[in-house]
Amino acid sequence: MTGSGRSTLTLTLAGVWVVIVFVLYLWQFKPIILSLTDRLFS
Amino acid sequence: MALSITRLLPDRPIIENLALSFAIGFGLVGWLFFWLGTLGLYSPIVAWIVCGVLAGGVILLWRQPVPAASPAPFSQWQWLLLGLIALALGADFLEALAPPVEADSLAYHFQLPKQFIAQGRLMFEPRALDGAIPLLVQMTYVAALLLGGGEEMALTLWTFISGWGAGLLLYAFARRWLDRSWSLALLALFQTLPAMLYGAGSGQVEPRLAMFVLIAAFGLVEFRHSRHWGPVMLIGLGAGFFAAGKYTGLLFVAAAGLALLLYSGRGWLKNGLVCGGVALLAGFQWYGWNAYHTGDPVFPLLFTALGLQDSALWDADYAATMADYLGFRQAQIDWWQRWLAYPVLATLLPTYAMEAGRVGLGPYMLMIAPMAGAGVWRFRHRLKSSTLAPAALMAVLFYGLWLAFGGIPKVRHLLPILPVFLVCLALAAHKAVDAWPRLRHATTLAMVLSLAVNIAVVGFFARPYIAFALGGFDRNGFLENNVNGYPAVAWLNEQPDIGKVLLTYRAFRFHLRPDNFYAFPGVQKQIEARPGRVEPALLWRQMKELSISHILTDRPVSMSLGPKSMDTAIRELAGNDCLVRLKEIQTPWRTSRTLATLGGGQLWFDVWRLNLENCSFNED
Repeated sequence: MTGSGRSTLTLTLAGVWVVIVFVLYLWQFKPIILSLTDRLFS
Repeated sequence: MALSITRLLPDRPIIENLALSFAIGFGLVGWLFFWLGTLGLYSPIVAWIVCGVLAGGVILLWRQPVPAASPAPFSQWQWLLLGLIALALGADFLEALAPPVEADSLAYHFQLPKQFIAQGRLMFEPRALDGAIPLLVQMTYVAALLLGGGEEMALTLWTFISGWGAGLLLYAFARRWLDRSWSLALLALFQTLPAMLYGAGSGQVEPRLAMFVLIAAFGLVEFRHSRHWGPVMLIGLGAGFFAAGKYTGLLFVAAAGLALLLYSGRGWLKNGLVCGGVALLAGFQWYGWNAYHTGDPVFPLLFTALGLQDSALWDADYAATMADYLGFRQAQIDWWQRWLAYPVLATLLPTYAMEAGRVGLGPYMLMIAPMAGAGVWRFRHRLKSSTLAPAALMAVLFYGLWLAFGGIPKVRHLLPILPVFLVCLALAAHKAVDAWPRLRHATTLAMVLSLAVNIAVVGFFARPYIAFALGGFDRNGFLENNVNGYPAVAWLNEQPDIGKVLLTYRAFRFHLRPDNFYAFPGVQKQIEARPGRVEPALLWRQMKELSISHILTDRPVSMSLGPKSMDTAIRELAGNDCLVRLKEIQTPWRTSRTLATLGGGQLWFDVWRLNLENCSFNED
């Protein structure tokens, strides 16, 4: 793999990690988020 | 003044001087009001004189030369961050304008200062875990209450101001290594963490203990390059103040002391003696206070180890109950959850015992952990010589000691060392970005997402306070909405001739005007409330000994249920004409005061009057 390819892969992995952690973090609040969404749109 | 005495004032930026002065001043006020309390000198005039003299130290800051170069203008990103900080500051200010509602604050953080002022002096509170504990932070609440003429808003405004002390100090600390944008982002992030929103505006101690950790961190950063004792004294001061504010401060004294010794080289003995001496002076008065009253400096945890005799305040049976309770709390998470996975679990899959989530530390640290790890690896050869290394070691040592001996694994108990961790991680991630510039996008994304979720939480958190400020509720209405069961307190406050009330719900203590006693099972011996051991005759005798005239209790008594409990004893006393029910009150019960959507139910409360004349247990 070239230096540029490695760099792109690193960036992608880092970005994916950040997004995964964020989604999993929000997942624990799923009941709260769902009930808030319900209230918002009902 | 303390900075001037330790010859640390002249050589640092004004923001550091301001933040450090506030933090040290906060500790000094707490320290002084312990001694004033023991001398019975709690009065407004004394408070004004003491705080006036201490505030006079500001003159020393004004005398500092103004920097020749004017600071660089703020970028758009920095203005945005300042806007978010202003938003969080505004939300906290609105919280300060409303009556206090957080349960721990109502139970003891604010209640004890109110009680001490009513007595005109510091009194020993013989209740484990939330009474006979190091109370340096609560001593500053005594000062605030005295200065404010006993008004509760003096307390809430003081917690608002002091809740930002650690954030300001974090900013000053971060500026040593990071640019203004990163430092502002860290400040915004820290102040809007769920644990900070929960604790900083209320009376919780952890957000304020973070100031003491940062005082010690400044000392650890500076002591190797200093030719005088000032930085070593700072380490002792920060560690001592922490020990005077919470029992886990003892672990911090060990962590800070060990970090100092490991980086001291040949001067370890001298450094250790100076730091230890200052820590002893700053923090160990509370341990002496406990030892003086009970023989146990960390009441009641060393009762068995010290072989103490049974007394009116504690005995071997209670010590066994406490050991069982602490063992149970310690065992609530498995060894691998504690030692291998705690940061990940506390962020993503918190167990009930961790009390994370809605009062947790947010996802930022886990998000940037790989980038920080990469930065550490890339610059590993410079780690030992890094100026931040001793402070980082201190934080890691505290974390390890806390996991091993901290008892209850609540994640917010890590809040005091969080600023140091945040700066370490952010700096390491920053270094990774220096080495691999394209990582900047991921680190920025982590900060943006974390701030976004935090600001959303600020919105939810501030909603009731905004409604109160806009006149949506009066005081009683606000308290009814935010303190479960408050109507029972409001009713009792209106009754004449109430002497002393026995309570079974801690959050009632602060807002109840008559004198009161909180009888939680197993943490105090004056009222036996442990399920399985409560006898009506004993309860009757103990209530009379404490001059209890009324009881306010939930029905059934949720803290002491089952055979031979408070619940059964109260029913039996009522059946024998010893208690007369004055009022039944039904009130709504909410799971969360911030999130009404989490639901709730109904609570029933009973107000009883002790019928001293006709009770058949009088003969016993």
